[in-house]
Amino acid sequence: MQATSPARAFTTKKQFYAQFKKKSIAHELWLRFLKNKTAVIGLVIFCIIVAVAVAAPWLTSYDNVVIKMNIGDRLQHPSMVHWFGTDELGRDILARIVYGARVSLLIGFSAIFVSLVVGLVLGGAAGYYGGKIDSVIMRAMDVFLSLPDVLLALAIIAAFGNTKVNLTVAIGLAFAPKFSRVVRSAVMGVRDNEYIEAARSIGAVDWRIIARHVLPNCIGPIIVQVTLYVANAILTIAALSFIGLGIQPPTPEWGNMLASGRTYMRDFPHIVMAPGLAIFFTILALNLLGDGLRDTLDPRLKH
Amino acid sequence: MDAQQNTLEIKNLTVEYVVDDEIVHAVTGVNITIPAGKTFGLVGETGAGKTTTALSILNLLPAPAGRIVSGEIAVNGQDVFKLSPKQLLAMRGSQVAMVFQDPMSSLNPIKTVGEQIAEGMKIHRGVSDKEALVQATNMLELVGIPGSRVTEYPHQFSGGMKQRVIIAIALACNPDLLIADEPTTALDVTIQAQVLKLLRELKDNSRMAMLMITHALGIVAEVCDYVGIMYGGRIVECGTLADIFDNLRHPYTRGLFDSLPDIENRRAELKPIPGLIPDPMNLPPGCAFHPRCAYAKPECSRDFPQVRWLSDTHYVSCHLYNETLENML
Amino acid sequence: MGEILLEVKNLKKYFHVAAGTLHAVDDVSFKLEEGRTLGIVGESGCGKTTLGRTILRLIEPTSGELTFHGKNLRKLNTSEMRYMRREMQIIFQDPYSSLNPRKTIAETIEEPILLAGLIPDSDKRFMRVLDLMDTVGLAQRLINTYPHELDGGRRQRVGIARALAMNPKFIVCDEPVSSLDVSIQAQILNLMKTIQRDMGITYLFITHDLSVVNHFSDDIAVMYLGRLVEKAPAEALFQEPLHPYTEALLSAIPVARIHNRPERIMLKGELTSPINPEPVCRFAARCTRCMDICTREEPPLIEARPNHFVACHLHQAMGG
Repeated sequence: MQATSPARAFTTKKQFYAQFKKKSIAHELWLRFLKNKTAVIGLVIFCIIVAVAVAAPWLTSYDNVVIKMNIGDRLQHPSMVHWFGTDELGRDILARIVYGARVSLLIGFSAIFVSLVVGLVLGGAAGYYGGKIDSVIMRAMDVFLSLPDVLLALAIIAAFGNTKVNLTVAIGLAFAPKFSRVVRSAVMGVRDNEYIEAARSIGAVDWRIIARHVLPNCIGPIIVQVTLYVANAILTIAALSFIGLGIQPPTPEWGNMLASGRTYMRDFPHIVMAPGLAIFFTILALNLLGDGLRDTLDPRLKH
Repeated sequence: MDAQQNTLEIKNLTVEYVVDDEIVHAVTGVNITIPAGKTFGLVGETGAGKTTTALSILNLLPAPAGRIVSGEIAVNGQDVFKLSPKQLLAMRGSQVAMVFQDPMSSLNPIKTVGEQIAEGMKIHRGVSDKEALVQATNMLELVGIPGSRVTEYPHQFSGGMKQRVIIAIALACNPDLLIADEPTTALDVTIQAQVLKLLRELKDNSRMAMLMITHALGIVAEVCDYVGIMYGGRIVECGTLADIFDNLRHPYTRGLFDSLPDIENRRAELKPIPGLIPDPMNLPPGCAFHPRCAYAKPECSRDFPQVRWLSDTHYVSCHLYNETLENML
Repeated sequence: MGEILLEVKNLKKYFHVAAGTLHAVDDVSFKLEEGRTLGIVGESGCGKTTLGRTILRLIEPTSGELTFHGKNLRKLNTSEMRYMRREMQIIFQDPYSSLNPRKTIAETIEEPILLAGLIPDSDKRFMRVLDLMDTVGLAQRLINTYPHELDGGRRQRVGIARALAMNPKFIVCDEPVSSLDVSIQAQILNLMKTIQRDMGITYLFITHDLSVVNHFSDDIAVMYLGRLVEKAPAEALFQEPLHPYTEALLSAIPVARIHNRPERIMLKGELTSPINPEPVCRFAARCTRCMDICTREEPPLIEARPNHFVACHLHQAMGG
């Protein structure tokens, strides 16, 4: 307890930090994640799907192959030329699957991003403040939760028109109440810790406490829900497109590919199997990934 | 049965935990003997190995991580490790009963206390439902709770009363050995006094032996006949109450007593033990206490000291006593 | 006699629960001098934890006066109170939940300084963090460790460093050593005493452990079911406890001695409910010396001996 500081080897923060490095929490979690085999499989499959979707423009030409009709080549079974065969308009199915991935992933993630933002704000407020604010927000969310996702998205599209943006927002809003619930319970779990009270005692204002102390400690369950809801969103997009209300042909989307291939299913099963399997593997990958993340981030297993 | 037989005999017990490919030496070479009607206090701080020792008695170690490496445990002369699962099950609750620290999580919230007390009786003694209820009522009275409360649920009782209910459940089948793991730590001090008085009365009025695990020397002085001081998985000093309180020898034991505020002399500065409690995954070599010991010598960091018997009842493991039995502290 | 730093008058904190009104803190009054330590003792449900937080307005009082350094705390608005908190800090009980698991200990200790804007320069601020770590006995190499890498004793030291960061005059210590092992408790208590001596800090030391409070406090106040039942200098309290509850409490302390053990005074029954209590002595149901008047009237807190206050019908006022 000297009045002046003792002599120090370094004088800047940077020097100290260089010598005594921070242990990376992320690195440790990554190692733990890797131990979970099914989770790794999920991640690998998902990465392949994403990589394929991103590389689509280099792999094939959109206008010539994906959209352009080629009646002469129609309904061909899988072969060395067309790996997944061709559809009823002669287009290469593999190319369409690849581009379909772009649509599904883009809209799926964007929609969930919308949900996340809304969910963080509403769920965060409800969880942190409790009381009347909590009641009001949660009752409002309950109203939306009582409607099935597809129906809600449908209603919004029917009211505002069928565009990609509207579709994204519609699905985003459909999932927002669910997210609010998740965020709220995560926040309530963290709120009663003494370090939150400590933050107040040292003079932090509410927004800072929520942003710096509460939310960083809630990330676990939220990330898990993100992956699982993206899967749901993709399924919802496919369902909407299947009934004709989502992505319209000729834009390829797995759901509308299923719809148009229905009539030919019996003799040319490859037309529906390809998009069906694409949906299946994407959802599977996201679910395995989500479960793996949940296990990795489970606080009970920590330390 | 031999009348001189000890209720509990633990010989050379060594227990390990395997965690993420690393071995934790939780308990090493522990010996505990408890004759009928006596209480043994196992004293130590966090990570010393007390709870692991207790769980080993009934083979309740968390599998697959916990492994009994060597040693023998005999309850009433029966080798616990040689029992079949069925025999072990029969022993738990009837010959050996356990009371844990947290009364909140030890009681089933959806069963009445009467049902929970009676459960053991029905399993082990084949008593009828009606008879069991009568006996449960008696048990409640025994622990100082009005018998009429036998039909109430755990949430209707306070913390201290819950702990007494747990003691009643433990005693329902007249066990020969009661293992109490920090039974009063979660309780207020005035309630603790009541529970300790109860335990002392039970001890005085029956032949029940008790293994009392605690970190508080004050509680030991209240209830125990014998004391074992544990550190880093080993018993470093062991003896009768008088041996330890009037003639302690191990530097850690000295440190424990010195860390306590003296009621009589409030001005005296506390003499804490410097340093940290060792991590069981990373015990110091030789004697685990040597980094914190004011009397450490070169051999302390190399070899674990042998046991030296200072009297019929009192032994210590410390290099200070290799040559002489004089008190070096 | 030093200056009065904190004055608490008729402080009340009531909670509305389904069954009625819970009197957590009921009409508590005391004065605390600068540089001294007041120990608050009591068992579960006595309201000591709520008292500590209410004084800092981390929980808003229901009624009563709080005067700190001459300022009326209850009249301050949120931002004025936040400013005031630089001088009034708190050390929490649980070293595991009182530190943000996602912040390194350097970040945790730095935060109060950052928020108060006391040291704008990043490097100078960092040096102050290192100074604080020195003060509480944490090695420099630990700056970038996370709480889960440290044991309870070290975490508690981080909590103490955080409380000291803004150079407070007053610290509420809420059971600061109860969660720690015995050999570590003594280390932390010695540290806190040294800090008090060097920095002139006033402590409000809340605990249920009587042997610790005797060692650590100048004066001790005993609470029971929200009320202050006795207050006296530590030595006086231990030598001549006036309230029957204090007597029972003192006799219940487990003493680490096998000779000359004190006689135990056993209390009857259990705690009565703090919800909608009757205006009678709340200890009456369990008191071995209960008189008729105790079940009819609530005893006021009076000065029965010089500087020794008690709320009990057994004792008259000085000279009365």
